[in-house]
Amino acid sequence: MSNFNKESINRWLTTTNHKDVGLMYFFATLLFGFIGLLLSLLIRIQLYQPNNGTEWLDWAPGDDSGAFYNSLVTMHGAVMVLFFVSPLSFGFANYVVPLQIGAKDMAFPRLNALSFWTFLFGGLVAASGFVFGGAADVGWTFYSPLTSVEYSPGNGVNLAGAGLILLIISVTASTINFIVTILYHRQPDMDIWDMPIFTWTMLFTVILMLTIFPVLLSSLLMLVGDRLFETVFYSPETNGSILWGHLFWFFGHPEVYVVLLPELGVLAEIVPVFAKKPLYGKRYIIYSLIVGTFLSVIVWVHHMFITGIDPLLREVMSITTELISIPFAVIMICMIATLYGGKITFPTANLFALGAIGIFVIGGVTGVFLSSAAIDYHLRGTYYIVAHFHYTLGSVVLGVVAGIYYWYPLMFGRLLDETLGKLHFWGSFFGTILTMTPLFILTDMPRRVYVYEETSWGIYHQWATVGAIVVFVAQLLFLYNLVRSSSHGEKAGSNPWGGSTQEWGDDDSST
Amino acid sequence: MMEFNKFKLFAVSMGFFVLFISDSAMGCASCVETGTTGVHAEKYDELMSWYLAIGGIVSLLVYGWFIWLMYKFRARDGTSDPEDMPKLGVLPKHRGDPKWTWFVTTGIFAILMGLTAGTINMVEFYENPEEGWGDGPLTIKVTAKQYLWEFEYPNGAVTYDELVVPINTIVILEVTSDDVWHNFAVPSLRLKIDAIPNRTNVIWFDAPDVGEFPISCMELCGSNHADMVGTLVLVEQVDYTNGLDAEYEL
Repeated sequence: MSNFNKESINRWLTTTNHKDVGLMYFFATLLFGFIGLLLSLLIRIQLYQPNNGTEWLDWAPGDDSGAFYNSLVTMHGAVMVLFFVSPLSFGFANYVVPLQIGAKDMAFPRLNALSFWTFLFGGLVAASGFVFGGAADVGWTFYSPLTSVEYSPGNGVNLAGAGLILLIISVTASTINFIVTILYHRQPDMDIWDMPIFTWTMLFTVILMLTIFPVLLSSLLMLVGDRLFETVFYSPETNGSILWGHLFWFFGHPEVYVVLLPELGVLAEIVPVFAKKPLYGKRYIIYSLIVGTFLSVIVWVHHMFITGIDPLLREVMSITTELISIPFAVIMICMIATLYGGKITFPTANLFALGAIGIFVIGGVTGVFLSSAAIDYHLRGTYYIVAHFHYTLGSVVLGVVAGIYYWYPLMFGRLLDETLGKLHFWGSFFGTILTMTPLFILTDMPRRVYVYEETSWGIYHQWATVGAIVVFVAQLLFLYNLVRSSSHGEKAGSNPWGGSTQEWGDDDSST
Repeated sequence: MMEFNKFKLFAVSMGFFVLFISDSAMGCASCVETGTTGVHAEKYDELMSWYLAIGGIVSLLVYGWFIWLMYKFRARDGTSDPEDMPKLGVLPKHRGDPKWTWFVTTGIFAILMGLTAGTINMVEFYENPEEGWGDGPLTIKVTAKQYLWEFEYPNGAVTYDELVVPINTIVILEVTSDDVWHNFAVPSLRLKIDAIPNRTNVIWFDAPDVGEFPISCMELCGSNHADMVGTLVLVEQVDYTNGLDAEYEL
């Protein structure tokens, strides 16, 4: 990557090799991740104290600072979930899955390259609103009728919609590609039950994506129709708000499992390697994945408990939501049980993996509270929700970063620096806790407000802002580590961690 | 020795982590600063404390076990690798005991169903005001607009951003919106309902304490979402019928 002459640029633009595509996903998602991180830092600075002035936001494009703050919130959510965490897992998957199952490449290499480029341009188009007169400022949930031309006349929603449609094209191509690769391109002697666990989780991820993204596509096409061609799909007269709610959350809830499943796969790869024990209950994890994937598409109404829909539906979806915690609890407990009888070492990759499990437990338990329709009546729309999903997604980010530390030697032939890595871990781990824990207390504060008067809320926001700065500084160290170690890191050898899956080679004789 | 220090660091941090969580769990049981009142809050806090207690015990057990495993099975000088250590090119044997999985699954299931019973009771309670909770009912139309609350009383009077009702009375709110999706919330009463255009959602409450409690919009409704706040003013019944006519033109 060091010399950008014409030949190498040409190569990267035209490559269809799964490793190259994986690396390009890796770099592109890190770019989006840092954009999302910067947006979150701006949010935290604005919320640092009660009655904070908004003058410093006024340089922004768009007509008022409230709208600019809303676009920060919107784009932070959309970029982090759709253009950072999920595609980063696809970067790993592109690189690792074909190696793990002994395939020569993805089943459709050119389709794979197409997926990457549509994803990249999708993300750039969605984020370009910041340059072209204000990004989407309606929340990443795009609730109708706030998204209609009447209430959001700017280009932001159109650009975000166009970006998401490009992303869906990318995702559709990619999911088909992975399903065919995993089911038909395994080496002949590999039974499906012998597949490594990361490949298993990717299989369920892509099946789930193929189920839900078409729904998002159709709902976005209807939205674009409403905005540009005066159709009336989401007209309030025909209860369009509720229609959007159902369509969006049918996509939106399983989407968090799309983000979560690959991370579980990464953790389940890493923990056994550093515990020096085989994964506990691999089959139970796979059964749990089946159950969890299925349940995840019948829980979406828990986002709509207080829209006034039928109480029976609320009660049923409360129960399905509580049930979905069982498979994921089983998966987590199997991972913790893997440690039993092991000989555990704690390099940075394992610290991140164990930290991710630790953070996830709180995210999961607070999620059980929210699964109760009655509890949700009070907690919905408050900072408790923000804290809850940042604990789960924070765990996901720690998990994929563990993946970076684990597979970096495979991708670049060198190890990431351990000292910087430890600093990065402790900064990210405590930073996440410090940022999100105080927010659990703010059960009476609305989300997505750019200014608040209640002075007793100030102290919690101050802690949260300090935590966010700690996280940010830790990520700068990480960036430095990534760049520096690619040329100055310790040479890794072919199997630095003693991994047992095939991406590290065919057998131990090569080490 | 090196490994042990790393472990201590980890254990201490996890300990802080658990402490931090239990602290904040206590905090989220109630809205300390903005006040609490009403029958919903009473019932809600009771249900929430069940969730908190069980959630707290489960997380403490999991963390205790997790930290103990990390301590007990840390790599030390002189310990040998486990016999079934995963090796490159060798497919590891399946490891696991179905009875533990069933134990965990049914255990969590039983706990969750117990909690769900409480939830379903509570949902029904939120649905229907029961006889005997108080006088009334007093029905008030609430209309959300960018960026204010409009309250229309039975006699046709209208107030903005300030809802004045008597204590110990069943108040039924018919909530709707004039433009975009809003959300009517009174955290002190544990009350929240979506305000959706062309749709009327009904919610009720009954509160015993005189005072002023904040009302917020809890759904992103546009650039001035933050300014969409109001006040619930609870007054004595006698003040409501007699004294406030002049002040609020009820």
